[in-house]
Amino acid sequence: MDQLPVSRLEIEAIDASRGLRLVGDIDSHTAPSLDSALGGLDADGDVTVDMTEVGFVDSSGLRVLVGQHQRLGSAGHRLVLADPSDAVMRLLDITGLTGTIHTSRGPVSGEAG
Amino acid sequence: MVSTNNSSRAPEEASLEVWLNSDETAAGSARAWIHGAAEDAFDPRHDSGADARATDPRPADSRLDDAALVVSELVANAVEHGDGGSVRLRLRRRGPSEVELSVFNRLRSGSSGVPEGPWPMPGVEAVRGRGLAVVESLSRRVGVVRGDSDVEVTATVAV
Repeated sequence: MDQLPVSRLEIEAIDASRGLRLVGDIDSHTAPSLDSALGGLDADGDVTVDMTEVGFVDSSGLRVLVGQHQRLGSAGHRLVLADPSDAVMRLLDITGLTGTIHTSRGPVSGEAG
Repeated sequence: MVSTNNSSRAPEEASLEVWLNSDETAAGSARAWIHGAAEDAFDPRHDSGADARATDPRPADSRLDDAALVVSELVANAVEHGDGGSVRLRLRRRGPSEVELSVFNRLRSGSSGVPEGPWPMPGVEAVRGRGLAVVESLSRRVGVVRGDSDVEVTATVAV
């Protein structure tokens, strides 16, 4: 039998390094790289994460998102998840985080860079 | 992945299992495996899903997504608390409307593997501790069988 695939997450800085565009899954394998990328952004304003191409988030991913939400919040800024999938919205719903983690509908228009 | 085994019996008690290497990629492999193994079980063209749809109107692929999230959480937990040996993931049909998702692993010395249930959802300020609460939220039932140095967690979900 073929080897089972492993999860992947591509992370690209957008909007003059004030946001990230993600492609892939956020799980225990990929969450640390997302944490590093978010932690490395300039926290001088809101941070947008384009979730359009994220198909899956688990509790490891939530751990990163809640942690970064709190880090930015303590500086008076917001973490905004742009265009999350129905599966991601469902996870926020069942964990009671819908009203805590900011989300926006519609893809991000930020340029790469 | 180490090996896979299909020990099909009666159609409604079909059983599939896979052994996963205990590392950080195991949860992703478990999701990929479930999407392949359970595709038939969650197929909306099967009348067998009618009972589940009576209580869960979402399409079958949403229930399969839930099942993938359940096994992802259970396998990640098993890797975190395991002894480094392989983790067994098993899928068993239980009648026309339910599937059991079982994750078995040997425990690292001094680890209980999973806390005693129930597993309430932490508050919004908590950073950690949502994995098993998510499993409980998405499952009809969750059972834990503890051995001297191993544990098996079985989540029963609707198909």
